[in-house]
Amino acid sequence: MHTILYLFPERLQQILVNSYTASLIGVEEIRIRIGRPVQIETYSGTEDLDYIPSHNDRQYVAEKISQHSFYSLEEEMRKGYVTIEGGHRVGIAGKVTLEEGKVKAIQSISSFAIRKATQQIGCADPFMDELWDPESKRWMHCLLFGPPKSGKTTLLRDFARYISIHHPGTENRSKKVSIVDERSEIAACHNGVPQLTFGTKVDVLDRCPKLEGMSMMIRSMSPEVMIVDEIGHERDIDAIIDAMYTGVTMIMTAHASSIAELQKRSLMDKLLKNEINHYICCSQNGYTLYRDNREVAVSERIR
Amino acid sequence: MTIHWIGALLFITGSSLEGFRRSNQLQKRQLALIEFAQALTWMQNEIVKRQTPILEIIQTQIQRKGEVGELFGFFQDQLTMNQSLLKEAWTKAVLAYKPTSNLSVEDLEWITRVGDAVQPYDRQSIEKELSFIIDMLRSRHQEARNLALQMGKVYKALGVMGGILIVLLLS
Repeated sequence: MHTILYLFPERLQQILVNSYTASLIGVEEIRIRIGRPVQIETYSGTEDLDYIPSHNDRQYVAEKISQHSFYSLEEEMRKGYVTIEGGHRVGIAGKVTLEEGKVKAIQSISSFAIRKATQQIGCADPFMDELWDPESKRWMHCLLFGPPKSGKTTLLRDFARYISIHHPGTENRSKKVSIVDERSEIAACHNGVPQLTFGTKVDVLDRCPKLEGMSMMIRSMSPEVMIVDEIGHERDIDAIIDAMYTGVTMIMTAHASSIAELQKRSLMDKLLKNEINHYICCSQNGYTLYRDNREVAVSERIR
Repeated sequence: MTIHWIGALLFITGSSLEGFRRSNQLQKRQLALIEFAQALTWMQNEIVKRQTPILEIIQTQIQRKGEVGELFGFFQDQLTMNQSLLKEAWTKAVLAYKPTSNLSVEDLEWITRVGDAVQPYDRQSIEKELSFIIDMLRSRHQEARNLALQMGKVYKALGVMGGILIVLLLS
């Protein structure tokens, strides 16, 4: 049975298994709102289930997410989402309590958005030849961007997998990969051990803020390639530029629906103009790799 | 005549044993109270300082011998096998543990409140609630200790003397 199903009361589990099998085939996201029908987002659309969650169900789901320990998720609750075993992200909404003007916690949870994490092994393969520099025998920096749910993290995860495994018959493309996984989404670590498929050369810093994580990794793990998710703040970009100057190849994602949107962010423009020649536009339909603003490779999204 | 002696001996033994049992129960109660206070203090530190999940806390508490281990064993069963929610699981565990417990009904009411205490999202509230319960258990332990010192010997003496009195009255 899929790990997500364990979060739900028995009746809802049965409804989901009947409609989508125990592996939740085709499901992208499950939305639970108290007093409203459970909503399932699939690749083909949205469906309302014949199940209206009660306050008891809310309590049940909240306890299952936190393994009966709400207090252990204090920091995550403040950010509004929790990553559970398997790398699935659970977004939370409800009544927020403030302390000195800052969010202290979300109490009286009213909605959960459970997004299923997927691993598409091989989805990065079409781009790997383009991102390899045979002269310097190094991977080139790359930025993946797209709107939410466009498959950025899925592709990023596959980059980490591809680069960290040995490929017989090719020149030595296998490199030491360090993943700074702020939200446990890329490697889906459980007790610090990645749950998804990677090569032998992967080191993961789980639940660590990007800024500290990148410098920790550079100092301690001597990475050749560094993977980070969802950059955006100016200080993130500063840290990434610093990391690039240490000789580490950076592969990262950012939220944006177009390059123009991305360039509106301060410092991002500098990063794109001076440091990054390759970027991949992610969308519901697929991925497009650009080099110096020219399209060089396209891949359809695997479902 | 021998039968009479045997009967008298049985009365005295039975009554003495009851006296010793009651005295022993007072002793066990105060021991159980201090064990619970210590276990909850450890649990409070784990929650507040390390954010240790409740299932890991249970695993450690189960290793304790005596009544604490027994109660946490029931708690684990309720959470994992019966899929109960935290508060409900704790309440059911206390109920399952009650028949074999040496604690008084009031002591058990305080123990039951632990289920509510570990529910909140913020650790400050948990710390306050658990501190309150631990303080109460420590103060109840002090009372139980005094009671055991005062009444322990009284129960033992009453048991023996009561048996002899019954024999004398019947003879």
